[in-house]
Amino acid sequence: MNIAASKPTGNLPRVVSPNLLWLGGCLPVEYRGQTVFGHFSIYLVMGSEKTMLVDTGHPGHWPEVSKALRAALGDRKLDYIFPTHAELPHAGLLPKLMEVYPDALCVGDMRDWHLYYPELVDRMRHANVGDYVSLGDRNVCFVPAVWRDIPNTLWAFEDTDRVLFVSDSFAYLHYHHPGESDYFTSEMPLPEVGMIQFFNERALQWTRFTDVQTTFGDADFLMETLKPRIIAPAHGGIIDNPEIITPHMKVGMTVEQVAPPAAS
Amino acid sequence: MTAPMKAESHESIVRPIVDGKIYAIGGSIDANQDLTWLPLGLSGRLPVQGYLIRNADQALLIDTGLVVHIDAIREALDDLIGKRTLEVTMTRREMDTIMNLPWILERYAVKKVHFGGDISPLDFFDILEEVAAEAQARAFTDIELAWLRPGLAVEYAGVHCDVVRPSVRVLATQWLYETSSKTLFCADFLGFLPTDRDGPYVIGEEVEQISVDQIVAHLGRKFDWLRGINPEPITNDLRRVLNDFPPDRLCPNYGPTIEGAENVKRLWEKACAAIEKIGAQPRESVTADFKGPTSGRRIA
Repeated sequence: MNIAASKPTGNLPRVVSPNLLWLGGCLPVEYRGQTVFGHFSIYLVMGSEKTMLVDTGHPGHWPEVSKALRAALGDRKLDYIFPTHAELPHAGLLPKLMEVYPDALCVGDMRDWHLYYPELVDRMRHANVGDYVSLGDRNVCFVPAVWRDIPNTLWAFEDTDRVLFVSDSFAYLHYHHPGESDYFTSEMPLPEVGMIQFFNERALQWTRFTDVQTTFGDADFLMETLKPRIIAPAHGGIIDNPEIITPHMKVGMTVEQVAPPAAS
Repeated sequence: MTAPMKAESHESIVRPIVDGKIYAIGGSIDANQDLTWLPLGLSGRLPVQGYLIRNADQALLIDTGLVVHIDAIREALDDLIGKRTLEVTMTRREMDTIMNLPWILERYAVKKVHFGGDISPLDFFDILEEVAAEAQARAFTDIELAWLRPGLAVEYAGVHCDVVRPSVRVLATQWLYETSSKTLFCADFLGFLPTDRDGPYVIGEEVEQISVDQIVAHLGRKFDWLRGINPEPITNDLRRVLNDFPPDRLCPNYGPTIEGAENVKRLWEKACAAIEKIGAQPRESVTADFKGPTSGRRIA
């Protein structure tokens, strides 16, 4: 990867580039007889003029999130907060952040949010697919969420370093072990396709009922249009070799269906 | 149908659903707005509600309603709970059901919350979601958290509520079937049909006025993953639920309560027909209207 990243320490936060900080936290999970960890990743994009936080993080991670933000922002403001969708692990810290950063605006698909945070309505800016926020030397563009649960989900694309923020999707690493929280995919061994253990693991329950391959056309179009160098998921490590990981991820998504679609 | 108890100072009406026992509480929203969980082009008002079950000493709250209705909900709960002890559960952990939880826990000295579990031991993300939900609750409370699974039940306030795991959902969802009154609390399924009235309301034979296409519009809005699927597993599962948990009424999160076993059956079959119709629709491309980054407006 050409972008200068800091060396991994085993824990978040990690500098991905001079303009991108990977922060958030992990939660321990007892899974198949061992303790593993699931990411709740958020990302701070720092442009020449403005800054944006992608997702707010899990409410339980406020101490580490607030500390990392203070250190990274220094004297700068947090200008924009983009919750990818209205689910508490992604948006639960919004009120706290909006209080600590009183000039911040909340951006994204805001259609429902006046019902949930009426006190913040004046600081919300709705975005449709294709809309964007300028951070000075780069833009953060709102793009379609190809794979998601609730409808008002957006992905985002930072167009200078070419970082695609994909929320619940591309959870390639799924879970990790202690000391691996800030590893990029290029720093982890690549599982053999035949041994992909996430055959039965899925972050999106609807994949059990639908032929997920019908979504691959949208995914391929998005990848070909945006040509991301980095894919940044909420659950899972940063993907810094998408050309290698994306095919694996697609295989992993093609899980056993409850019932395949009827022949047309 | 029992007459509503009108709350004077705001737009909420507390609607008794089963006399003395089950109440719908909440408020209404304008149905003619662009929400991601409502079909477009509606008119009138739509109730959004939680439900309170109570006996002489205890109360069980199912879903906490919208933040915009906080004053109405607080007044209704103060009136209905009185000196009773309260436990809380939620059909979903989404923002239209969970956002009022923190102040409710504090105001009514709640000792126990029943969280819906959706666990598959093979599914890492099911487990992670539960872990995250518990950690989230721990961020603001240290009360007892009880995990509900299919096959388990909530027993409180003189009722027994079986946990039902529905197939029509987007995030972790549980329905609850209260056995003595045969009431199915069905979350975000089958909630629609706005009216010019404010507050929760009840319909019965009016289900005849609900068309399959109306249900298509509703279900296809939030559960758009139904498009292009083989609907048979979903409809089979819905019919199984109706058979195993035969309801005399449906209590959804939004829209009217549906009263009467035959009315429920008629509506349920229309819902199955709607799901078959949505399944026959092609999946919509999410990139069809995407013209590239910065092709739209600069919003900030």
